[in-house]
Amino acid sequence: MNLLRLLPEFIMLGTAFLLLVLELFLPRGSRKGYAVIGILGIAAAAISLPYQDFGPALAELFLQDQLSIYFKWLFCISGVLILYIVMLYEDTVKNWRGEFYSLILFALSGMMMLASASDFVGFYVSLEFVAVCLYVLAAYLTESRVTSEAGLKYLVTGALASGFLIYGISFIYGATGATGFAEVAKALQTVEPTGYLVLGIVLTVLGLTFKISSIPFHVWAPDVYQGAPTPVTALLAAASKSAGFVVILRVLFGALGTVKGEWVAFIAVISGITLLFGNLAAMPQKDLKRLIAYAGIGSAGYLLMGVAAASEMGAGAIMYYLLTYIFGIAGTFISIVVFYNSEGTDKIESYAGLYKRAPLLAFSLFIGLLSIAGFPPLGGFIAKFYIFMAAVKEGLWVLAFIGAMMAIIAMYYFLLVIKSMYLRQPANEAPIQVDMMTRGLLYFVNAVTILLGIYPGPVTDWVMSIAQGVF
Amino acid sequence: MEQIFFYIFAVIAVVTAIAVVSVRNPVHSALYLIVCFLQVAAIFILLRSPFLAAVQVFIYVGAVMVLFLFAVMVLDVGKESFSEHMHSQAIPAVITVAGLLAVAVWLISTGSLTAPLGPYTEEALSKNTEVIGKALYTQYIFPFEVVSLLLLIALIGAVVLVLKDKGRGAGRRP
Amino acid sequence: MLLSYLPILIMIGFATAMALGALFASFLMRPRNPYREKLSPWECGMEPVGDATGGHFRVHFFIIAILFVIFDVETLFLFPWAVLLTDKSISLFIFAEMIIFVAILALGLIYAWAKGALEWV
Repeated sequence: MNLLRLLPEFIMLGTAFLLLVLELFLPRGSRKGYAVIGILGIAAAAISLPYQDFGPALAELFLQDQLSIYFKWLFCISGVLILYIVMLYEDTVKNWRGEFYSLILFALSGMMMLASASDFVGFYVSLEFVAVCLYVLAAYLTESRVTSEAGLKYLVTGALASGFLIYGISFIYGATGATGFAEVAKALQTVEPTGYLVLGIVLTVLGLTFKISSIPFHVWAPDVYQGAPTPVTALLAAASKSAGFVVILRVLFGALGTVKGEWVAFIAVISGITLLFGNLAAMPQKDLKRLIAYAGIGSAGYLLMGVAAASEMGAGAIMYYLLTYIFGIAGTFISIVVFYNSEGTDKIESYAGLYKRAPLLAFSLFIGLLSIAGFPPLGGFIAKFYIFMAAVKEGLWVLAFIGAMMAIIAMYYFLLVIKSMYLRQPANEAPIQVDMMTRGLLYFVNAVTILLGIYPGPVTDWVMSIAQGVF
Repeated sequence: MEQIFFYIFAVIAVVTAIAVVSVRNPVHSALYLIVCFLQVAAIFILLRSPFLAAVQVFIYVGAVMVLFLFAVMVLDVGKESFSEHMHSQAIPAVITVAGLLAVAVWLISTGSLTAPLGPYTEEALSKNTEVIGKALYTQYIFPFEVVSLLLLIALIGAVVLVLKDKGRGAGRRP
Repeated sequence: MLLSYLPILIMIGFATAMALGALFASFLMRPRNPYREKLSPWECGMEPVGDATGGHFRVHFFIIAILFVIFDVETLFLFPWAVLLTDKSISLFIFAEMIIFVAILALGLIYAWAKGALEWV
């Protein structure tokens, strides 16, 4: 047993517990200091990441490898950005309670465990841990009926999906007699795939579609994205989706990679339907958070296209996509929160003429949304390009064609938003104040998104080398 | 002998399960559910799984039942009719369930649903609880400790969501 | 092995028989003289409206319910643990493990307590 391999998780959990205990003693008031403590905690966890050695811990149920380290980086990055968003968001809520910060840290530490889980039992329990944190966060503002409804919808769908997942896992266990990912893969080399295995795979995949908000468990996404507190929406969009995909990579590529003939077609169908649904349903949306929810369903379709490719290149493309997605989401959501703090609305029409009032916010939304849509030369374009390449290489022409069509539609609905921000006249000319810290962060996030698009080399090399070990 | 007892428990379980969904008063149906769960616990004992029987009694008869009764009390389900809330979902639901059933029957009848037996022999399983304990506390410590975190978050979540602090105003935004 | 559960079965059967027997006996022996006043729930005051399960139930009980569920689950984990404690080779390890488990949950209880979730007014 090598407990040092759990150091990042311990640091995150320790910070979360610290904030929880602090909340018991501090009088009411601003909790922005928590965000600083939380960011410091995440930074400490991130600093320990490069010093991690690879190998198992805790009776081989916890595995530190390149894949888990990469995803832990993603969670650390999104954690810092989201805690900053919470800090901005805190001002708009009366009687803010500090548990929010510690719940976010708990959720992030759970995602880190998820990235390292190398066993169906450990992975399921970690997934539930993350899910319970997110249920509470989604329903956090108990006075707001919209938020309560969002939390309830998230909980009910999540419970159903989790039932599918555990049922599928039990079938896989029945078919192979093992729960560890490596043992399952080993057992499948000798055992013929049986009906139980196929049933298990189908149910497991269906259960996992909840986390990544793809068909058929996508129904929660629009209402929850719109209704949940904005930082939680960002957390769901960025970190929770990454957590879902690290699990998919581990389960489908790692454990079930030897029987990929059984699931590739199934994933391809899900991916195609998700792409069509997400992007077509996004077009008539009036609320920006809701629009991003549908676009997020579409993104899940692209990412699943990488899964359907079932190759090292597909895995690498997924990892790169998630990185660009996190930065796109961060830039967008920081702008949304700042805009909301000033205007009190998320309606798309109220964004009209934003360029005249706050050029930086308009520019960040421009970069963030277009990166999510996959516009060249931004980061999202390179990611989509790799996904398409992986899909075409494996002969998924139809899927790639649907994806390309939908990318055009995605650009259409995002460009409508951007057009109204840049070309229309604002109803109210008053400029929106953005403080120095936020400005700096927005510049940084936008710069990263652009840099990931024009100079992807180092990151893609890294990602592709990690992807070699996924199968 | 064992079979006779199995049939007794199974018949009572099925009868009470039907009673659960057919009686009018939700509190009565909760009581029938308790009886049903107890029969299932007895069947677990017949299957030489005393720990699962204990789980059945603790989790289902104890915990789930408390939450169930709680929901019945708070939500006042008695007065609402089921059909009001189903809208037109009944037909797709029936089709889906029938489809899944057909697939399951087809898979079982064609014999493609087979699986290897687990690694434990009859003799090893007679010490069922110890086998479970050993697996849980040596091999599966990671999930075991995460479970405690999960339960902690459930508690914190309940306190955060339920407790109304004194003098708290309305949150402004969704 | 199953024989060791026989006393429990006999006990359950005995208890069920006692309960049903008492009900049946009182059914046989009681005087039967119903009249309208006796059938109304109270002999004074107003006619009752609705029944007792209708909504007037504090959501505060939910915390108590959750606390019960959580510590119920915890107790359940103690069974296989207690069986295993006699095994000297791993007893110390699993003892420490369970202490951590219980300590994390105890933190939750302290949290609920300090937040005033257990106060009743």
